[in-house]
Amino acid sequence: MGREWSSRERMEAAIRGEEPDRVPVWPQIYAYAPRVCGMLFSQYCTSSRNLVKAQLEALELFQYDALGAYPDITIEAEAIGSHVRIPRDEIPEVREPLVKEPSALERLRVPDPRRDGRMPLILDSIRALVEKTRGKVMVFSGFQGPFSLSCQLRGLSRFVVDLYTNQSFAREMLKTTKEILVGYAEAQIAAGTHVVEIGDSSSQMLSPRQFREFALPPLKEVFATVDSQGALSALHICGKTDHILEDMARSGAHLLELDTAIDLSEAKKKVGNRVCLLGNIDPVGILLQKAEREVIEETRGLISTVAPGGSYILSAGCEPPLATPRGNIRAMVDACRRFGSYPISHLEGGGW
Amino acid sequence: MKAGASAEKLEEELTSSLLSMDIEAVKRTVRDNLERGGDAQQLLSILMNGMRMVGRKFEDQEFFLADLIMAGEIMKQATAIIKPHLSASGTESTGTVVLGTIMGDLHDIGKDIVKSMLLSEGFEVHDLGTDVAPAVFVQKAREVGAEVVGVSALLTTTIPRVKEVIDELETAGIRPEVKVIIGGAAVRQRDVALYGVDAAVNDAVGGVRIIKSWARGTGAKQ
Repeated sequence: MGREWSSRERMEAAIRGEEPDRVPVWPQIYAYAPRVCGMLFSQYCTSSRNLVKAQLEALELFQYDALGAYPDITIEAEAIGSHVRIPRDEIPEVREPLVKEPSALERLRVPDPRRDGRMPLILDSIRALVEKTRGKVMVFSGFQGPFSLSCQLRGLSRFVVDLYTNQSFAREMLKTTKEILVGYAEAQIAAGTHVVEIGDSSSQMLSPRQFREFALPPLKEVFATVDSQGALSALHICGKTDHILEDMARSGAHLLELDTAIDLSEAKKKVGNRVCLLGNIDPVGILLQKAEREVIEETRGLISTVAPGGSYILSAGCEPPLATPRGNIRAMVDACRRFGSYPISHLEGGGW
Repeated sequence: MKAGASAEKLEEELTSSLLSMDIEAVKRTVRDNLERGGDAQQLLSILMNGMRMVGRKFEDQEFFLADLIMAGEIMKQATAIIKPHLSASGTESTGTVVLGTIMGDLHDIGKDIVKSMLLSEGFEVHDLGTDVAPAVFVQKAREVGAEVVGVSALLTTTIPRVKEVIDELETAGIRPEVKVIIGGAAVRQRDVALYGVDAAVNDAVGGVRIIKSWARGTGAKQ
């Protein structure tokens, strides 16, 4: 009793499936961070110094339990050679698929994370974030999963069609991206990241059979690498994932980040004894569009239904939209501090 | 064999190939049938009927988004083979829709899903791709006589640009003939009043439902 938990200890306990002192909270502040300090997005995602500055200022402002060295989802595609457009103050995007013809796969550049594109910037940011918070705050860093990266490189519709018409090529593509990502994961772990977060949202389009056949095997391999090197891992698939939830829980990730479309208390019943869950306040319907009072009610409701028993991190269903009022993010974090102290029993209505 | 029986066999074969996502079998059946003097219009209506079944299976969660995208691709390739064989009077489509992702925005998943679903409902769809300038929507709508313009916008920064599409339609003098719908995760109901569009939706299924309800009216705009 009486001992102070660091943010990292709190997160780690939840990820181990335990109850910490209170529910940890991490609203997935990746792209949102530069808004906090009036920085342009293009400044944030192209300089490690700026990224670290914005992340630390956002942490200072909101007082949640983690940091993110993952400004946008084009970093891997760019290091491989894709043309990425970095607008002045919007999220970067892959301009054009690199593998328009299957034959282009052989010519893909396997990036050196210490040298290519903005990967070195991410590694520097990981090091700086860990160092400046003296290891007391959980640092997340990540990349697109093999399936989603393949979609980025090949073009989404084209890669989906490959799954039906050219499966040997699709498998080659997934093998290549998996190998690239294993190398990048190792470099992030060597730089000191605590959690490798893989975003594989394009795979929510697949049928359960397709997910097991194409998306899951390469994911498992990357997670196995992360595990063998002593880091933690998270799997982020936004959208409707009911149909693949059991398989996501079998991927080897320690933490599943689930979107608003999922009933989190149901998910906890199904897979909560095997993996820690993170989520899932509606980022658009609540955080962007509603008032603080409603954010607090949502937060309280989630905590009372999902937090008992531990193994839970409070968050939004996905990253908050850039136009989210600051007050709403603060309200979510504050409500977590107010109502999230363990032990928590299931609340049945009542005033507060 | 009687004509009726062979027509039934054709329908069974084509529909089953489509539902099992066998693109080569669909194209082969279509080509063979046309070579033997088959009715292009009949082929097209069998396929459209099959696409409606795909749409229903998607709603019943028997099919998934990947299946919708693949079925849309099969429909696209099969239609390209059939089209030159259609008589001048052509086919009666459910309606004509121009679709695109607005300028500054490269997201195409939602738009592609809407496109597949509209094709499955028998609409003629003109897809302008992503990063489309407001004037291009209007130019295309005028060229093809579209009843509906669908604007996809995922970013809060690009949503307001739908207003420029409305302005361009007014300048071109065709606003009364065209319904405009905006779709995207961050789109809100109040955008209808804010930008003067006819509908605003967050999801593909809802958007297609609205476009269908317009098509069922007498002409797109009443």
